[in-house]
Amino acid sequence: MKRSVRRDFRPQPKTEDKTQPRIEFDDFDPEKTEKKLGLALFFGLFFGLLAAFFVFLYAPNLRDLLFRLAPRENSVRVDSSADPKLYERELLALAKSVQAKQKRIDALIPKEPWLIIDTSGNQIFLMQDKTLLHKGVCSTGSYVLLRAGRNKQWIFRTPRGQFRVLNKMRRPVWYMPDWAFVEEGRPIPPRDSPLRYESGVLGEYGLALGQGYLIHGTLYKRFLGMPVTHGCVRLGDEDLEVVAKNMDTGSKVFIY
Amino acid sequence: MLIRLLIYYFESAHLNLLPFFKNRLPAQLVFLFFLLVPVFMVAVPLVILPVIKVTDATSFRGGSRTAGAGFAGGAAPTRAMAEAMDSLRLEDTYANLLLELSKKDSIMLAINLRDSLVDLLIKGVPVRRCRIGSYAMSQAIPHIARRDSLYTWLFPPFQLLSQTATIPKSPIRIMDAPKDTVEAEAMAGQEIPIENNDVHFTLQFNRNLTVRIEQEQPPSNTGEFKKKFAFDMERIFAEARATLKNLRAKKIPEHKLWIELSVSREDAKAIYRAIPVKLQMALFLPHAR
Repeated sequence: MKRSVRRDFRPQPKTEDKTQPRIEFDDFDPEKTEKKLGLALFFGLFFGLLAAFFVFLYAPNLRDLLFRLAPRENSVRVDSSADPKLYERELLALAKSVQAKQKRIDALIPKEPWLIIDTSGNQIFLMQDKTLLHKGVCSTGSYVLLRAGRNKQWIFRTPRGQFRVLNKMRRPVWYMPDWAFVEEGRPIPPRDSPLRYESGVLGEYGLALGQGYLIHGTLYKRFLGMPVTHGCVRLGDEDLEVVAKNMDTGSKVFIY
Repeated sequence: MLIRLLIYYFESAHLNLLPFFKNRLPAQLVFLFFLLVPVFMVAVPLVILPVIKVTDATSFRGGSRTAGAGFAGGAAPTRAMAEAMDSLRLEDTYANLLLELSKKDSIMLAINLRDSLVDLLIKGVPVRRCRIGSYAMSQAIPHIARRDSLYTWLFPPFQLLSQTATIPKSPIRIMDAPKDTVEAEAMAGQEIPIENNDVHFTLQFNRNLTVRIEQEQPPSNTGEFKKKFAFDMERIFAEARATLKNLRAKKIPEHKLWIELSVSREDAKAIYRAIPVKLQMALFLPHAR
């Protein structure tokens, strides 16, 4: 239903508009207005400087925001005079080149069993090509810096990088270095002293990595999975057996 | 809270400015002018000019970007073909980078944003593969990608210049040698500290690239949250110091390109602890644009 609205076109008496504020000049105080204007300027500057400081501090983020807003060229320019067959040939050649390079990269992975040692998580991964053969826990360097006197100190950390098994030993005997005696508060015997030789502490197998570092067994099985060693890699009996049986002299060991 | 206090102060001192501004446009304009002048004075050299500098340098000048230009006759190659070419070029560059890294003896890093993977490499062999939970890239990278120089920016591998983190590089514990066997026995009974810190680190590379690696997990406690906050603030202030240095030398500050990745805490720790001082990195961008 249509509602009819009647409008009164006769002249109306003027009424006071309550929405508009009345300016009363009697209230005008130049001193107060000046003070307020001064304050407005002061606060304008104050907040402006504050904002400027934040702009300075977060300028990289703002630049990034501006980069997001900056127009991007999304179109692909294609030469209209280009021959698609030649273009396709170029594409194929590039794809072949990429494939060949990918093969070269894949060939870097050893084909015979290889070992990864994670010193931060104290884990081992026995691999063959790209396949995981066995995963286990180990103990690696403790990062203890042992100080003895002024000039002597040792740091117990496992070296990182690529190594090879230089020697595979059955029931290895430990030749105790100087730090082993220092750590136990015992006097250091001469280099050829029989006191330096200890058997039965390195487990069933020992895989030498060079510079005195070994992968070996341990008597302290409760410490497996923790960084407690003097740089060698300690494994539990089962893990050691799997590793020793799969790895041979010359096998690659990657430590990170 | 601060604003409330300010309002309270102004009201109590009969200095409430709000009614004063209510119907006075000139006063509002003056206030805004004085508010904006310092902002613009800082924003123009630090925000606007560096962006203009990059976007100007990366704007197209001639159509030499896509391969196939210069061939004669026949129908034009399609957009899909050109995109495939871009993608293959990126793959080719990444393969070249990996081959380059395989020549090095040290541990290297490969960030593959296309497959969301971070690899630790030794002699080209991936010894740890970490899945990227999420990543973000500087918005300036697509502008660089528009240039033909993208591939020269990606190759040779990026060289690490500096690194900062919330955890120590080597968790070294200093111990003094025991005087006798009794003291040694007492020392042997000490507990082994277990590391459970949150891991966040920043790697600053050459060619103006910063890689920030964060742990996926939220801060484990208030202490770690504070540590992370302090770490972020340190980075912001370091950037501010670099900006000041540039301004003193009367140079427009260069916008740093950044990539932020989140990986698990264990992965982040393993990566940070493993990377050497002279790290080199291969980067695979998800797309060329």
